[in-house]
Amino acid sequence: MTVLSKEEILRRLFTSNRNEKLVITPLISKSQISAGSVDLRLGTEFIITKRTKYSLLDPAQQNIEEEIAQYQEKIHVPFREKLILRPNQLILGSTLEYIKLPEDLMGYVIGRSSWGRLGLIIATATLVGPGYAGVLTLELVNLGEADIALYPAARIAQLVLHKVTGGEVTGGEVTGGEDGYLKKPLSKYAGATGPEFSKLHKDKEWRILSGDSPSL
Amino acid sequence: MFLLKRRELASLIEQFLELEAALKRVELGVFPRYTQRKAVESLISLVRNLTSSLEYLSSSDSAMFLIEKGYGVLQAIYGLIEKIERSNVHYTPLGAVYLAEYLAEKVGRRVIPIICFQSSTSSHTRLSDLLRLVAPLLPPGSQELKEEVIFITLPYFLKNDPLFHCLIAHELALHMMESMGSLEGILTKVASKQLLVLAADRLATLMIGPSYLFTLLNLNMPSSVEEERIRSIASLLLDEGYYEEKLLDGLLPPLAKAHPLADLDQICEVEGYLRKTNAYYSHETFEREVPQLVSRLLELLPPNEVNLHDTGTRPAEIPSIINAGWIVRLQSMPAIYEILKAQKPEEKYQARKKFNALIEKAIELSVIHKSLLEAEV
Repeated sequence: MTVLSKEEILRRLFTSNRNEKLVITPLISKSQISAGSVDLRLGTEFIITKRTKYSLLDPAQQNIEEEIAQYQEKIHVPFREKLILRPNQLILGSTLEYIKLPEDLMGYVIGRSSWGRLGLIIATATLVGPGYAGVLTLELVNLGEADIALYPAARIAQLVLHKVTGGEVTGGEVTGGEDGYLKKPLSKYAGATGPEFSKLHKDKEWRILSGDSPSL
Repeated sequence: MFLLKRRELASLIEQFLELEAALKRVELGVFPRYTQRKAVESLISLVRNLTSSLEYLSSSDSAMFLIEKGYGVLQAIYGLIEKIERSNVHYTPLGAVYLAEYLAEKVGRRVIPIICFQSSTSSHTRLSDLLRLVAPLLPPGSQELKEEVIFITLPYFLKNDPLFHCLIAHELALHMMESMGSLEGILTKVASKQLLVLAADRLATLMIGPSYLFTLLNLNMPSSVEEERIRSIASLLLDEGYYEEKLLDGLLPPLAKAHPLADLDQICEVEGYLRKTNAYYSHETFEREVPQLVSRLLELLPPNEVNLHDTGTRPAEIPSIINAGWIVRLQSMPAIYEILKAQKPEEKYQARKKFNALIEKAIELSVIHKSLLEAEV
């Protein structure tokens, strides 16, 4: 997989060819694009955890979706306000930008080192699949000793874009990946406008893993 | 008698002190915008002035009258506190707040809008009206407001549908007429509340274009009320050139003879004023922005920005976003359902929620984009 250069990212952003078109909106300034990546800003919606409600999250459990919704809460931090992230606290945020990848591109979200040096980790599940449309959910963790103030619309992450080669690209799925991982449909979180609750429980193997299904 | 008055007065002062404490608690609340804080500040200042005036109230014959008035004001301010609390971020979508702020700023009359979804009909209350009520109780010099605070209440059942938030424009239009002194003239001349509603409809249409008409058409109002309002707005849209707009083919109602409202001097005056302000949403802006935004929505992209001729973009105007939303909702929802693979009622409901979220997101992105661009300059 090749990494897209600044010139190629710009070309993809402004091309009229729908099959190649990359959308990152709003792109406030072209200075957000550097060699090989695009800076992304922090959105205004967050999912925070109510610490005392549940002690166990078991994805194989029945009604886990409702339980997760009770265990976590969506909040809105308006532009020009801030959210304090305590040490060791995990919250879900999202990018301000709404992104749509053409089906021959995929991306990785990585943190900006300036934030990392303060102890902020911005993503652990970083793959953005081909054809994805929506904002990107970020898992924000403060690994430092001090509180960190998070401001919506601050540049917080980078999106590195890759061209997918060597496989047939069809309808939101990529076939032919070496380990088969990309064969999985990637539309589970598509069209999101804010951070999404975990949908881990929708994976089919939980029935087998939890012993509910008689055979593999 | 004198002792009774003193006791009542003391009780009233205690209640005003309690009211100030309640406002202080509200001040610490979670608000979507600085506007809510400003509204609380204005009320705290008003309550403090009232409390100190009551403390110096003489035992004259008029004291009882003023005391009775004081109780009425107390209740009214509690009502406003409830509206402010309901306007916080847990209850009120930011899209509505942004739209109200956008329109209030464009009207340019130093208005702080507070939006809440509370009742079954839309209405508004102004801080200046309350101030007029208590003017005899206030010390000289404290009867002027630096900024007007307007509390707009919208029907609760419309809370999660950003396209219906267009009703905010109607309430702001009524406020405009009130603040320009046109209201009295209109009411004296024609003595009809219905005509006032028609006038506010026209101003709202000038502020947000055909989306206002679509809002009314889809509100399921009683048909007798609706018909006259629709006729009046349709005739204005004809004058504005929207009936020649291809994008609106089949969406505008057939034309019928409308009430000759535009002939009224007072309404002409307010419409003329509005056309000169930034609050006027012209057909040219609609033509320039809405087709692009409709295309974006049909690709499941938030309709927050428009392309410029060189390779850049700029944030779309909020009325354009709402107009695009209405056009897609009325013409192309099956296409949205198809993109989202929604077939069953539950799936269609989820798709509609996603569509509404795109509109809300677009409004927010447009506001943030504009602010960041201003910061870059």
